[in-house]
Amino acid sequence: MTDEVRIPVIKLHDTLIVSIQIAMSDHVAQQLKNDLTERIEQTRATGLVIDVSGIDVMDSYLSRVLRDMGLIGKLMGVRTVISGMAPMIAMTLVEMGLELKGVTTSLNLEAALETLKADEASASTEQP
Amino acid sequence: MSGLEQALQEALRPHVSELFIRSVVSFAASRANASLNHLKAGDAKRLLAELSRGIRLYVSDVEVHAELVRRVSAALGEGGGRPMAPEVIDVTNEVDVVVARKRGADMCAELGFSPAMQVRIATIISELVRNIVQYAGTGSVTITPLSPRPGIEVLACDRGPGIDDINRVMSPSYKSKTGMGVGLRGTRSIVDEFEIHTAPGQGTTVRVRKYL
Repeated sequence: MTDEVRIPVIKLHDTLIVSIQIAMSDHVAQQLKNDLTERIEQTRATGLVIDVSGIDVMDSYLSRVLRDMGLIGKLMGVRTVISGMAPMIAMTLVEMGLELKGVTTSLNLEAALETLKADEASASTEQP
Repeated sequence: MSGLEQALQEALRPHVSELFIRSVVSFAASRANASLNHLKAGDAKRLLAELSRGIRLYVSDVEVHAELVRRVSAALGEGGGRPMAPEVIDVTNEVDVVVARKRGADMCAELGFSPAMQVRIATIISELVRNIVQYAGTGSVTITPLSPRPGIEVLACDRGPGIDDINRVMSPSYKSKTGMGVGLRGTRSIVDEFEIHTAPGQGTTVRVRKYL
C-alpha cells in the first residue's frame, strides 16, 4: 500500500492556494475538501485559487471535485478562481458537456491573484 | 554516435527536416529515460512511444507518420510492421484508472494521433474505468487499435450490478448523485460509435470507437 499524499493548502496573505498536481484518489480528494474547509475558517481567507496546471486529464469525477471545492468556497464567502486549465482539457470538457458553470477561471496563478486583488478592491470601494 | 542512433536518424529521413532529426532522436531517448548506446529490455517500447510523439510534432500527415513509426520500429528491432496488439488492463482499484488511461494515451501516441485525440481518449478511458471501480469494484478494459480506418476502440467490462433503465440514465435530464450517467453521456458525445450492454445483475459492457 503506497503512502497517500495530502495536498497542501497554502496561505498567501488573504488567499489560499491549492495546487493539484496528481490524479487524486477518492480519499485524497475528501481529505482536501476537509482541509480546505478548516483552513478557510482558521485563516478567514477571502480568496481561493485552485491551480490545475499540473493536471493532464480531467474527467467528470475531477470536475465534480473542483465544483465541490468552488461551492465550499462560495458557501463560506470566499471568492474562488480556477487557474491554469490546459486548452485541450477545456476543449474536452466542453465536448463532453462537463464544463464547470459559474466558475471563474484564469490563465495562470498570477492572473488569478490579480483577479482576486481587483475584486477585493472594487468590493471595498462599493461600500456605502 | 551509436549504430542505433544513426539507424534511428536515418529512419526519419527525408520526411523530418535535417535540422531537427538529431534532436528528435535524442530528446525521445531522454524522455524515455533510455540510453541509445545501451538499450535495456523495457526501454524499446517506451522509446518507440516517445519517438512517435516527437515525430508527430514535425509530421502532420498520418500516413507519413505511420510509415516513419514503422521504420523506427524496425530499427529498434521491435518487429516493425506487425499490427499493434490490443492492451488488456485488469481493473481492481482507483490506481488502474490512471494506468489504463496512460496506456491508452501511449497507444494513441504510437498510432500517431494528435495530442488533442490523446487527451480525449485518456478522458473517456478515465470515465469508463472509474465507473467500473465505483460501481462494480473490478472489471477489465481492452484498448485496441483499429484498421484499416485508423482509430481506437475501448471496451470496458464488469460483472457488477448492471444499470437499470439505461435509457433513462443516459438521457440529458437524468441527474444522479454519483454522476454515472454524466460520464457515459460525456463519453457518448466524444466518440463516433457507442454501445452499451447492461441489465440488473448482469454486469455492464461498454464499447466505444473513436476514429481519426
